Amino acid sequence: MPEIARPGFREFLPSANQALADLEAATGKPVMVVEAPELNVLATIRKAGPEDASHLLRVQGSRDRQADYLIVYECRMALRDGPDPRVVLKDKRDRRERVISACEKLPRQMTLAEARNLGSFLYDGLLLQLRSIGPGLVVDRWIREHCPDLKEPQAQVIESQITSNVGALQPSTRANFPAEIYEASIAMNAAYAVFGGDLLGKPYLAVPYLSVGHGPLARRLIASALGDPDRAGTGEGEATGAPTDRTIIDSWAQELGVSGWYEWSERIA
Amino acid sequence: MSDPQPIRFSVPEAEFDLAMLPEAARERGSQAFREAVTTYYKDAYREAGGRVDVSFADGAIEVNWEPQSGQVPASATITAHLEAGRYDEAIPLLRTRLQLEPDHVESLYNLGMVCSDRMELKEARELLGRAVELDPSHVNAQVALGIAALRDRDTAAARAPLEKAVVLEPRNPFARRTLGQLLLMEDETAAALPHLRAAAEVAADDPINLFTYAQALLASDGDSHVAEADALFKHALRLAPVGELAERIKNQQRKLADRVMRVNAQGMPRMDAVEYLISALQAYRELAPEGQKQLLAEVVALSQRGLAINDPSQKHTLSHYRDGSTVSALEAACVYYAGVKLLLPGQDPGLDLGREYALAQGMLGEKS
Repeated sequence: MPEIARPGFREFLPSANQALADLEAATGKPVMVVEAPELNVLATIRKAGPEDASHLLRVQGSRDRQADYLIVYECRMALRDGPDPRVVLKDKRDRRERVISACEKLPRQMTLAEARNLGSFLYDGLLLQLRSIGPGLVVDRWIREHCPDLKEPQAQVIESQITSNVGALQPSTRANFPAEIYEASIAMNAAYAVFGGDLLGKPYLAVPYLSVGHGPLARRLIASALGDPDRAGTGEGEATGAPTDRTIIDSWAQELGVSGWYEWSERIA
Repeated sequence: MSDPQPIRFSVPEAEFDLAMLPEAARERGSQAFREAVTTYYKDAYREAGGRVDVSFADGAIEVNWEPQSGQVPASATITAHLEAGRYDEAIPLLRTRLQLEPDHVESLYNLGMVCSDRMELKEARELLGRAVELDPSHVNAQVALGIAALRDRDTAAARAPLEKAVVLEPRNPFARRTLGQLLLMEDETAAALPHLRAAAEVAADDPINLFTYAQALLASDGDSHVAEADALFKHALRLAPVGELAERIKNQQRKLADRVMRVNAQGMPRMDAVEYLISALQAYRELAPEGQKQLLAEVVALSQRGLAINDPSQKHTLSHYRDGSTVSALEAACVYYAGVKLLLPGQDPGLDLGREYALAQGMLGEKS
């Protein structure tokens, strides 16, 4: 059975328990779930390596049902790798430096150290978006289809993410970030908004992006992520020929003009 | 189905996708363009219901979709934003509501408060003025109008609404305190005291009330109210041990102690302080720069907790002073004073030992 690290963690919904059990069964290792309010993302999973006793799933908050959705989301993301350690994106020093250099040329007043910090932050953020959003669409669609008990929390999380992301569209943001990073990031947010709007039956969620012409690229990104809609997101990606994470991410990078900004590694995430 | 969340965003006019508009409306910035853009967004959200507001400013298009089935933004939503300090989100909703209901007193009051907090005082006074005109019994609006006028340095205009608020609700601590502050500013200390005392009694756990009342006591007839003011400062400091108010309280405590010391010395320099300052100056001279800094840091930390320099029974241990010494509070204050003068020239030590310090320097053969 999954190990619950935090005493007093409330009982999970059936879908969350099932996802934890599925990951344990697929990998032979339990999942430790911990509440981590310090996270700057909603949830993360560190898949166990050969010397680790368990997978570590950290959730920002555990008080409401959104945590159940996040547990399932992270477990399904981990399951997409199969039994092996997760493939990860490795950064490339020259690309990181390129972003830093672009930050140094921005009109805003920054010291070199601040520009360096901002550049690194933006570069890492872009890789994180690239790693998670495309494959995440597949997982979200799977959850929608297979987890009726998560319908409400999933909708809340997706809608909340989309509505907070639109802040990046404001005119001052563009001027304050390197163009390559800004365009790629906004395009991924647009894909997420279009996908989320369709998934939840709320197409208006994508209006901010559609109004400034991001619709066609968003649709191409979604199509390259979802591939064959009947098989994607089952956790059997490679066996059934549905796009793997690597395929999705590489195709997104190409569409976004950031191919060559990273390398693949088989190390543990 | 989860409740729809409001969507607010801003995009550059220059980036709006012209393909979404009729050909005749594709000249950016034109009236036709703006009307077509507005229509586009209203159509886009039509199926979702609710209300869409589109505005244009500084080359940007601002869109605010409020997913209420009714015609006005929900009060609960506005209140939640205000309580969380999310003014940027509350303001457009308040404005929308006032467009629909220009005489909605609570929205006038809330928007007026927000404007006042943001020092947009002209608009704040207009909004709050309308609120009290519509509902003269709205005590909080009367107080807020008085505060906005005070912030605008218009004490004459502040007085009437504050006096009305006190009449309407004599036990309202905000009304009492603000009127008391106004009277203090006008040098009407005797008139201010009853209001400030009432505020301190009604809201005895509010450190601002206690602090203000203590200051007024000292301003009225300081020497006969020293003990009461000192007790109020101490109580206020217990309630607000850190932050800007705490620093102001500590500063007043130092000044009060200094005042008592002067009274006790009958206006003459205190020779015990002179001796302590001589000793302190010598101790600093004997220390290497790093040691000097450590001593000053130690005594600054001590002084921040408050030094009862008029109470000889209070002792403190200074580990960096003369290889570790136990000293009286006045001696510690002298070590602090000398340290600030030597290492932080130009800074105000917050304690007037100037005459004693000059004497100590003279006795050591130093130039002041």
